[in-house]
Amino acid sequence: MKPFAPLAITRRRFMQGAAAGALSLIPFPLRSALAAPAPVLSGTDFALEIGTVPLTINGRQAVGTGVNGQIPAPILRWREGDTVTLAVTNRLSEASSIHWHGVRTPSPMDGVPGLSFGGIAPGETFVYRFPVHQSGTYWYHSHSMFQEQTGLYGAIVIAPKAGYAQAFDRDYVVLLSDCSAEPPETIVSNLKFQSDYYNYGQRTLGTFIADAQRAGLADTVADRLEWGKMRMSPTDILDVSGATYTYLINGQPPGANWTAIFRPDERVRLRFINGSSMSIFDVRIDGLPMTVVQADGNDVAPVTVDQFRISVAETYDVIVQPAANRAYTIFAQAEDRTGYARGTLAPRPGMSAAIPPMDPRPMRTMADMGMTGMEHGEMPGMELSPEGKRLEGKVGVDNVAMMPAERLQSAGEGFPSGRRILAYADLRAIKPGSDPRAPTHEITLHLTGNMERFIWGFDGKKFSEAGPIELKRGDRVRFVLINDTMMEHPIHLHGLWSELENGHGEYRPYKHTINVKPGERLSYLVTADAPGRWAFHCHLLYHMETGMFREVHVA
Amino acid sequence: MIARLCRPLVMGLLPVALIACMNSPPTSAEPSASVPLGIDLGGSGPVIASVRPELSPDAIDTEAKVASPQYRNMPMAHAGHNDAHGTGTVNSVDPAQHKVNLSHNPIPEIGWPAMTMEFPVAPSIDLTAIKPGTRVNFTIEQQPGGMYEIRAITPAGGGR
Repeated sequence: MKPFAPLAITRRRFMQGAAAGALSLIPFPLRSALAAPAPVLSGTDFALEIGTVPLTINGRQAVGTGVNGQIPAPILRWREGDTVTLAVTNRLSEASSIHWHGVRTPSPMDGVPGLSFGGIAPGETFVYRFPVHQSGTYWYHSHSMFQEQTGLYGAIVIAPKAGYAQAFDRDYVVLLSDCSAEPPETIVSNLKFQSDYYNYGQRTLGTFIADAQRAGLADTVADRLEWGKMRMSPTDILDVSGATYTYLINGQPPGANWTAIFRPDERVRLRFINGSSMSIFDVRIDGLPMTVVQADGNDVAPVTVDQFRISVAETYDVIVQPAANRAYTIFAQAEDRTGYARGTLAPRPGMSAAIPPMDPRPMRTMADMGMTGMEHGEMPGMELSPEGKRLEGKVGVDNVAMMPAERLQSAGEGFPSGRRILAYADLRAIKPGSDPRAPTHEITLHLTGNMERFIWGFDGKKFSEAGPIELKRGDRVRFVLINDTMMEHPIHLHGLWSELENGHGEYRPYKHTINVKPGERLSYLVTADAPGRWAFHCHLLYHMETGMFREVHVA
Repeated sequence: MIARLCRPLVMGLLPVALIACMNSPPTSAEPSASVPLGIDLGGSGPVIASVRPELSPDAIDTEAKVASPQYRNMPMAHAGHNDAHGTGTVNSVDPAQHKVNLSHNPIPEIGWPAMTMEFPVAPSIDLTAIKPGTRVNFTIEQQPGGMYEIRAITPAGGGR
């Protein structure tokens, strides 16, 4: 049997590799070119083959995008201090790419077509090669078209050189994702046509009557008028819902019952990764507190919670210690409560525990609108800040937060009280940051959108209308983000860490993706220590594709 | 050309590969053979000495804690009572839902670390005296459903 094509590194590819740096010229061992269908790949040399994968989703046939025939893509295990070489062959009929999310690579190895490299053309192989200077839980995914939605995502686990900070007996990746039989192009065109297309929790005459009985007719009418004036729906939590999505744990739908085995009293590390395109999850394990030990690949002071919200592209490592000889349900509800991913922790295969009812659906409040503390009557007289006035009236901006608030103490809406929910304010790094300098300047960006048109951007501009954000190499800057929209936006800066200013002084958590809640103003520090052209974008795939994307250029 | 030749090979090799997205109907019996099992990546090995924060007792499954002898002496909301006392700072007050959001200090009586969390407040308590930024002493009591509710809350003096 003939193995796969001897690496189809074309002349053009070679030239790009040369431009990208001598590292990618190093020949890749041909024997590794046979892509093996193993679910976990370890070591320093990897052959990854991007191709189509036939799927059945809720009885409907669909074509997914996988790596080595697998969705999710194989788990990659690296070691801090190694140099890894990854030969990625594209067997699709369109261009592709792989981005190593949260991994600090040289810019040409970052995998963003148009910024870091030219993409991987059909039939070609691009050899990524870079040293690994970090440890923790990360992931990789396509940065081309909608391939991430159709399955091109997988986990990266990097073992720390000095050993782990916490002891554990078992270690599982829990990769959450969303999956649909509808092609992504159809989903985005439905959203453009009608932004609440997938929102079947809309408030109706029936809920109007119920609200009026509870809150009084006058307040209910005033509330509805106010939302009406702002052309928004308070039930619009996630743009794409369980109406089309099936939610997966490690590629498995709820009914398949993906199971992780433990023996009672063992410490089990669970590496949660949200590899969804559009879905934010609220995760809990009924009857089992979780101790969060890592966020976005970086160790944090252990904090024990009953539940946490994981936005798209974030990772959280937790340690649990189930003492009973029984099954526990891992329950990850979509934030809009239209569905859930489910798996099981159990002493034996084939066991399952009750699936808890979903929590109440969150409702957007006036705080989410950036109007904390405002009375209904104050609306007409409100004065916008000068920068707010500058944004108002742009076609890409349908709302400006009038009083954006610091909301890091809050985990967000939709949690029953009495449970301990992880908030960003709870994340404290276990060691002081590596750059003690104060920032020399601030970059303030408004996250803006026009929901009705499904246009998203920064400062009212789509990517196509805005130039890059210029940073000088070695700069220490503060990014201030103000979310003027009603949606959450997980903002991902490639190549550089985002040190969230959450009240812990020099123990700021280092993150690669920061979820900004509606009406929220937050800030983080960035050291521009890696030169190159870096992507900076909302990690909700359809927000990125419809404009919420900028280049950060470090020169 | 080669790609075309290879595609069937990939498909053939990977019957396993994609159960992904496949909605196998949930069967009542769930035969163990059909359950997709997670791949255990193994234990931590030796832990670095400098930081070895033990899991708080709270991180251990409460249900089994009662049964397991090693945790029998754990203060379970101290014997005979199901209330506990704490201090903290108010982050926000929600009068409509009668809830407060607090950043509280550790509550050793029930083994809680310092946390930011939201509590329901007993209906009898007037929330108008409680403002964001206020330092407070409070008493929480475990409800039949296992959740904690604030039974008493008073300003402790001093701001954030």
